[in-house]
Amino acid sequence: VTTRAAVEVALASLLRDFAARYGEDLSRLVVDGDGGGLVVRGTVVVRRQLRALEQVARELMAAQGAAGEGGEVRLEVVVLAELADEDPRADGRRLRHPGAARQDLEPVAVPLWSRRVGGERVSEWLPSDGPARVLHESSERWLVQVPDGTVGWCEREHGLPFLPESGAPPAVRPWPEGRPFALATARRRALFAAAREAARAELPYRLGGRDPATGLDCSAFVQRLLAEQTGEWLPRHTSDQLRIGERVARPKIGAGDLVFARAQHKSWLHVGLALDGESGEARPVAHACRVEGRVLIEPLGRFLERYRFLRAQRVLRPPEAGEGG
Amino acid sequence: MTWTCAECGAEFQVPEDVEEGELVACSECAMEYEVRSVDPLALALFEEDEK
Repeated sequence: VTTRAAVEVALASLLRDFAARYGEDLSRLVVDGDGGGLVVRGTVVVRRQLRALEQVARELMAAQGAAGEGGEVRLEVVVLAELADEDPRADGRRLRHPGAARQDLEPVAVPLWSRRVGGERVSEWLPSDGPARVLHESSERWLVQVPDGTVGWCEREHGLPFLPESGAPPAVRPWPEGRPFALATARRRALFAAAREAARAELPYRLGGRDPATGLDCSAFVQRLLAEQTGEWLPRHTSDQLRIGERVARPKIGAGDLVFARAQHKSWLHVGLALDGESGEARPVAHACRVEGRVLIEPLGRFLERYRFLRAQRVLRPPEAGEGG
Repeated sequence: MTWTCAECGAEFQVPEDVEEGELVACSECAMEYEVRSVDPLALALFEEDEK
């Protein structure tokens, strides 16, 4: 019988994975009920963890079905980073905020990090990114969320991030997940010009970096470019960016589309922004290139020799008649 | 072209112009698949990395 024990074993495995991937993990999951009506209750930190939990629940229910058993696994799980978008005084799970309402930082980057299997990743938060909020405080570090929704750890030794007043929601708007939205002609031109300037200046590549001066990675590059011209923020990480917008077939990739790829012989993901100019395989693509260590522009065909094509997504559309500018 | 989602059991449309290696998603549950072969169509669950 599937059962509570089976669910508990699966959850224990999942929690070990969370702890290895995210470092000091805060997920707390318990199982209630038995046989035909199990409920998993608790807290995870980010939505990615909830998706993993949903997958485990589906697998368990599929196994039950194959064994001719009924029953379901129901989830009553709070995502900590999303709870912070609501009134933090709503219930007893109030997120802890240090006493100071605001604290100015020196204008330097604060590293955010999450430990992963096989290594550590560093992602910077800058005062210019807007206020970060503290989700959790431990003896050595803070768990903070920056305005684009990224959640990461910040060592106490680096000082407190610039705190919002009473847990206010992020100051920036996340990118709409549905249909691509129109961007005025002048803004589109400015977007492509900014990409060309970044390539001309050979901005340095740095994995996890968000700062054009010291280096940024591929997803931070397109995130910042688009935020500057649209006021909307793509998710921080490539694996989340590729779920935004509408699919475009490779031969139809147009100016403003995001082109996602994988490394030729490794599993990491990559993203570039298609620019105006030539079309088809000659269409220029701007990207912060991990291989070359800098921002560069190259034809789509060359880009997809360097990396393996994975998907193209349209996140912007040309302005309708009368919307141009 | 259609494919039956291993996760939710729904049959979803795979675009005719899809390429080998491209990522597609189930229209019902959004589970993602990598196209291993176009003819015959073969999809495999997408193994995600974080960058």
